[in-house]
Amino acid sequence: MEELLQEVNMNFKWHRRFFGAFLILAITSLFAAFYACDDFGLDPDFFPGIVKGQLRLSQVPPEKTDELQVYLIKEFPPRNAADLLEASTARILNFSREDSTQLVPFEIEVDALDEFGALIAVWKRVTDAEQAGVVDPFINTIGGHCNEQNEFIKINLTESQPVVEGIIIDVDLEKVNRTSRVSGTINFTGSWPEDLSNLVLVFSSSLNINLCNPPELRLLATQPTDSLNYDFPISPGAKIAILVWIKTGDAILDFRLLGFAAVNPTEETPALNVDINADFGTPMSF
Amino acid sequence: MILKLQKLVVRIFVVWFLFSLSLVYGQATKGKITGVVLDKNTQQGLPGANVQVLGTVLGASTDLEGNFVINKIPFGQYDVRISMIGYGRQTVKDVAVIVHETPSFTVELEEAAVEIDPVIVTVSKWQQEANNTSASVEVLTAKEIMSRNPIKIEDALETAAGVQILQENINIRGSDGWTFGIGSRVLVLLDGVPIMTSDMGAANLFMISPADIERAEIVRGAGSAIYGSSAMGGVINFITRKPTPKSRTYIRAIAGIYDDHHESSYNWAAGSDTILHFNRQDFTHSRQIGNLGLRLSGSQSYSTGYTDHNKFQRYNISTRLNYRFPNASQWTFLGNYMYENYDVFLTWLSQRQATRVEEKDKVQTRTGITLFTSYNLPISSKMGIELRAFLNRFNLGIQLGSVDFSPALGLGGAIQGTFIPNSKFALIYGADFKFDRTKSVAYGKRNANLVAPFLQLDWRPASDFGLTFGGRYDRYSIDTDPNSNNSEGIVFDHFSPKVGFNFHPFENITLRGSVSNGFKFPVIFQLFFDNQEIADIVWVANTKLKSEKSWSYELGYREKITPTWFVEFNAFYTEVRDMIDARSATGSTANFENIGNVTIPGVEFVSNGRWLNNRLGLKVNLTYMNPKENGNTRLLPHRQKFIAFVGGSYRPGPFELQLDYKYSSAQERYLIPGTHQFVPQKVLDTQIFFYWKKFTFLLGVNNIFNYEYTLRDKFPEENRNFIAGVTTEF
Repeated sequence: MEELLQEVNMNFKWHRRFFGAFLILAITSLFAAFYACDDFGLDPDFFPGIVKGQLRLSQVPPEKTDELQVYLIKEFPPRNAADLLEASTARILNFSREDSTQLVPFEIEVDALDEFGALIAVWKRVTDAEQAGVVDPFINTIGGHCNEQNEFIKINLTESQPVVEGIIIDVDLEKVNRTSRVSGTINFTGSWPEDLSNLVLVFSSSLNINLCNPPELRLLATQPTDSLNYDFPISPGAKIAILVWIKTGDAILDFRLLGFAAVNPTEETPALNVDINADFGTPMSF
Repeated sequence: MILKLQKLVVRIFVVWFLFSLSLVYGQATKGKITGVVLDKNTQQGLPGANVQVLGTVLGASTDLEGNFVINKIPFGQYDVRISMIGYGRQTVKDVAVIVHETPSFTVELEEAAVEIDPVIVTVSKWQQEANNTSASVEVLTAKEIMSRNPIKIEDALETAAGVQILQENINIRGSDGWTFGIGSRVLVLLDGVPIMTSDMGAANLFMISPADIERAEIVRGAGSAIYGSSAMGGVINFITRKPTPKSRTYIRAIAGIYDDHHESSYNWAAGSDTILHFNRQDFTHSRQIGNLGLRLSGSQSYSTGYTDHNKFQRYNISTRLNYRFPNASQWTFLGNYMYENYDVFLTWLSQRQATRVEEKDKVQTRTGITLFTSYNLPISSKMGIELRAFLNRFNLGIQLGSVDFSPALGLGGAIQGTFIPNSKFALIYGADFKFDRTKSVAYGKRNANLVAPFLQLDWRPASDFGLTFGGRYDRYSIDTDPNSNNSEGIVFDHFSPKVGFNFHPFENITLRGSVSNGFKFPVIFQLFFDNQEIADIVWVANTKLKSEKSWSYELGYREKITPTWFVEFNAFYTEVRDMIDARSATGSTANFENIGNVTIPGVEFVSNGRWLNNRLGLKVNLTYMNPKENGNTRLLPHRQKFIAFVGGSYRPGPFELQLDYKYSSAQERYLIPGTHQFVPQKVLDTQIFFYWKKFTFLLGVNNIFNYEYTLRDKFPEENRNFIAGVTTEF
């Protein structure tokens, strides 16, 4: 220490004082560092809410299944993609790929206590080209936490009740078992609206679209044209192909009807040459 | 217009070159200086020491026995400076070069563990002492870099004052936030060559092999007046080791494991047998064969990552060749290659669960090639020219959503003249040129070119007072692309001046100040990246982006309290107009926008010292700032008010204990909307070195207290990890 003091014992008295102040600063910094012993940063209960439950599967998962997911979302359909990004999600990987009936547990950690409008189960495919560019929760919803009237049951996480348990969601994997195909031509008449943001082909069992069991959707190109060929993989069974468009700024499921056709593809017999006439000049409604 | 400008630049340089040649053949009679440089302790010759005749462009390096010869020195009286990494610098005064007499002297250099005032080159593109610059400069030595980067060089950079690294973004004094590195406001150079991607304008730190680095020079504040766009927030120049007459082989191997988190619910590897770990190996060998010096280096690093989707494996190879011609001119070649496979971690879903990335996007590849050559010719004792050419070929694209990027090509060059008529004046002038070629489905095929003449005058009217004046004009033209949605071409131009002073009112005290203009052109990615979905947000082009412009004001006080201890106080104020940042107006789409005007006032304290014959060392950096957008009460996204680093080391006998504490106050805003918890960064690292013969053994613990924190959106930082390693040098 003496050696050290001699070294800083320069010509100016204030140098010694400065060195003293400097040592105090360094020692304070070390104390600050050790103070961190009692501080582990992010709260252990960073995710204060938990939603637990099980998915009830009644079919063998399709071969292209990558994983199952559960979204806890403020409202469904979401207003925009950010709603999905903010949604709390659970990824489920520990399901059997062979059992036709199974209960698979899920647990969602929620980063803010709030009221949530919907809890939906989503099928996640192994990526391939057939559906690139579409948002999974629309296309691949396989079930929801719904009541008998097919309405979503709200989930309210509060300080007094931060954990909700015992939820069972029945999932329908048939609709994502896309072992058939549908193809044809869409013929357009009338002038294309300038405010068209999306053109969508909806496959539904009825014209009455039920959010608890949403239809299969396929996005189409939006470049104005007189005719457009389409060809999509689809699950077998009778359904209605409904062509709709969405206006710029409208909600995601705020459909405007353009035309429709009945289809009944099977595994052996795909629905081919299903042509749809779409008239932008004659408004239609559901 | 562009053609006329290019013709004008060519004419100016033809005239200048002829003028330079006239000086070559019009020189007066000359003599030479010889000498020998020894290690004071061993009395052995020191190979590779740098000998510089002050007030001229002449210099030499010592040979294997420590001898040097400097020819073609006009008759006169000179000061000669001798320096070498790891040794204290000396200046021999009043060496007289006269007819029929060759002055010769012996210099004994003393080993010094810390270079308190090293020779620097970055600030004005010529060799200048840190004490005599008008800018705030910090130098990280090779020892500091190697002892603080278990895997990544970024860890070492954060020991510099005011520097914070957010993934690929380098933030100096609040200049930058977090944008995946896109549109960096800090220019990163490798031996003076920009290693920025031509499409994203991102710094490619992955190219750098830490074992090759002799020192890193960090310039805080706008450097656009001499380096142009991207230097608005500062400049970092990594200087690689030159091959020395004595051959050198360096080998390092380190490995480590990540510990469990203090809360078991945070453990990413919970329920599996996986131990999260990392390792790194470095090799470098350099030698001199006659006048040819060469270096060959390679490294491999691997990490499982400390989270899911965080694995990487990287390989680097680099080489450097130097050839010194009999006329004292020098040719240099530098080649670097990098290849990396890495997993993409976007955000967390919960504290131990990553957002799932599409299988096809999950594993990405980064590649990079840098080739650089330069020729340095001292035309006379007063004038030198340097010709530089480089090629960068980088592929760092965010390859998500099937976005196809071709490697971005940057082909550049520079011609630079240095005119030092006497010890009072130094004039640096020249021009930088660059051609960018980029191609992607996201922004089409975009070619661009840059022409940028620059000039800087360092004038010392008195030995204790110096002034710096400089300016640079940049013109960046992006060509049209008829096949793209946004087909138009865009031209940006800007003139950035700078003025500064440096004053020594007393010996060991320096006052300095500067006013400098900075700017940054929007990069191709920010302008044209269109209609691509990343993490469920569709990014759209914004071809209306304007350049960012800034004025930086700085005052500094520096005092060398003892020969091995200095302190520095800085005050700075930066105004940025039309700052560019990523914004999402709708929540479903996002783009880069000119968000408005920003001010960054701040103060800084720096202290670096060693005592007790270098056994005790302490480095303290404190930076307080307040970067805010006009009209907004919260800080800019991803910025902190307070950044601190305290690093201490003590070396009793063959052991050395090193403790580093990093602190940054909590941020207030992130980019992605949602619930965030903002906590400060409080990280304590420790390392113990044991020196035995030619070996150094290392044991260390990083993030001792297992502190959990984030510096960017839903992205955990490293938890506690243990490292062990061995280094040998012979």
